[in-house]
Amino acid sequence: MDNLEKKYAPSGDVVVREIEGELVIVPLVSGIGDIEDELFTLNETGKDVWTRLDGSKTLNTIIQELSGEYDAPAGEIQKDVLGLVTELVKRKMLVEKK
Amino acid sequence: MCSVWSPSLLKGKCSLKKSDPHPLLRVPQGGEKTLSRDAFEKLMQDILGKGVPFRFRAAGYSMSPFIKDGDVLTVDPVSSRSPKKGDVVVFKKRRSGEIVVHRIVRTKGDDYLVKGDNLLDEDGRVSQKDIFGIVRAVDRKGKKIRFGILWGKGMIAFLNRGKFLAVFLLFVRKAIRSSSGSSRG
Repeated sequence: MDNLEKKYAPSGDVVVREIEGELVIVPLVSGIGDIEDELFTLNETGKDVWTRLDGSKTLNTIIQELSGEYDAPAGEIQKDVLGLVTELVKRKMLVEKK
Repeated sequence: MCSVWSPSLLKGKCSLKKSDPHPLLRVPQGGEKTLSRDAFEKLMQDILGKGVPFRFRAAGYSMSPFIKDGDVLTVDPVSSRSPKKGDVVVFKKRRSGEIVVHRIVRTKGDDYLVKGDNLLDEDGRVSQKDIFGIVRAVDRKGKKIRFGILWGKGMIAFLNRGKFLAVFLLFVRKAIRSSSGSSRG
């Protein structure tokens, strides 16, 4: 995933709920909400990335926003955002917005 | 500048404990996180509200032997069909707010009389709006449990209502023990 101009948004096939500061995500795999085998959590930082993935901003914009808010090298933030987005797309929790 | 940068996506597990209605969320690193009853309920409602089944690990013995501690239940939303006598349902107890998995032993107008198969006392009347879903599958160590869930439900509800179920199960267990004993001998 090299195109930083792409936009992403949560898939319609996920249930997302904030629980005690963490984001709990249940993808509806094969039409079932399975919290026994398919339950994921995003920590505080991951949640910060997820909430910006609303289909309106490019990855580049999101990375720039996060770089202004976190005390971490921009290269590290970009690598982590791309890694997280790749993982979320692979698990069908996130879809590209055209 | 704010907090430390460390985004992570973790895969975990969650189960509802009937005796202690605070399911645990386990993460691969071995950590444990308590999920409140309220959070569990909302997650279940979110999923069933989308019209799709909900799958979770149950805990407790009130439905033994048809549902045992650690069995994984698949629950259909009540929007898919109305609950009927014999169905095992997930519902919320009005007074305690506890989320329970028990069997409908009788219908009373728009209400249901619900009871655990392994309990002597009924839960009392439960209205349809307090029922989240109907158990359609029970997985136990990779095997599907059908008796009491898919078939035999009406008979079990009848025996359970009359409190004869415990006696019936005693006979069943005895029969199983003697048949396995005679086959060994």
